[in-house]
Amino acid sequence: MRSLRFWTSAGLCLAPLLGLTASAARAQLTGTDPRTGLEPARVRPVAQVAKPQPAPAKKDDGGCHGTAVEFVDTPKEAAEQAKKEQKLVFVLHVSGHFEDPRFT
Amino acid sequence: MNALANKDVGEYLNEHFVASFQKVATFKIVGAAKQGGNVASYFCAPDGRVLHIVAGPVDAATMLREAKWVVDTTKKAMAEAKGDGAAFKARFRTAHAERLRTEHGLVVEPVTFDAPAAQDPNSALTFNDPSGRPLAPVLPPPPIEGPDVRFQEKADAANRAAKALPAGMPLLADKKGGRWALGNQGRVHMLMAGHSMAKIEKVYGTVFENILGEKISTKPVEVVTPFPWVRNGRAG
Repeated sequence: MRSLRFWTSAGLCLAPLLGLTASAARAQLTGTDPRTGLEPARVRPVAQVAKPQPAPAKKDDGGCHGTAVEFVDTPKEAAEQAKKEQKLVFVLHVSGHFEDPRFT
Repeated sequence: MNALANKDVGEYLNEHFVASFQKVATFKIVGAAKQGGNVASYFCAPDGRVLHIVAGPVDAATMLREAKWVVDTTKKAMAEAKGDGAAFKARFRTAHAERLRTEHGLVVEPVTFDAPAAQDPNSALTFNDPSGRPLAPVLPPPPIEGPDVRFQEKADAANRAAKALPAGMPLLADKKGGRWALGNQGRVHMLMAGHSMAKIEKVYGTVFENILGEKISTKPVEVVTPFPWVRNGRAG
């Protein structure tokens, strides 16, 4: 009776070890589900999500502020440069958004 | 619109001018609408004296035409004045009066001589803003003599525009009592016929308030509690 119990329990312990590990190993090699033995549905690789980037810095347009005109920082600087380069001075007086295309 | 983003305008301005910009007035957002906000382009000599102005937003062709006119007129006036500053100023003002006559059909007498300033800006009696600078004056333009009959069509067009204006829009009166409507550029030529070669700080107030209709904040002192010893309406 004892030997019967021993062999039964030994068999029960070994069966999953032998059978399931073998099927699991097969599943790893063949890509089958160890419980059902079926191949899982193929999952398409998801496109890698781009990391959130900081807002793109405004393109450095050399002080043009979105226009085709090169602006220096202050009218005083403009006057000095104009005197040096024998040019005239163009001063834009703005009230409102400088980037508003209606005003430039 | 978007004149300054135009390639030709940009190239021309970069070739003949050194550009800069200033914020001169504020604007309010009321609901979704923006109240105020405008632009004025000043073409100046290197010492900051104003040669010409483009008031308000214009298209690229207009901006380019005005810039070229400034450069050409400056060269011509320099050649004729031969180093005489007063003669240069007189020629430039005459050129503005001439453009007003030929393009808008109205005649003004250019002011070719500036009387000495009536008020000393450093005087204790001069009313200054909190930063100590005198307030931008409102410059009187030279009076309109009347229409030039050789450009009667232009004057008639101005007259028709005057009648089409909604009530409350300012009209300009000539010496004979006629009423004329002038656009921004016409008003600029009228102003410049009397005040070109004035410093930009003297002109900008008139341009923003009288031509563009914007309000420049010139509050001299904002006194929140003018009498700090008075509390709740009682002297304490």
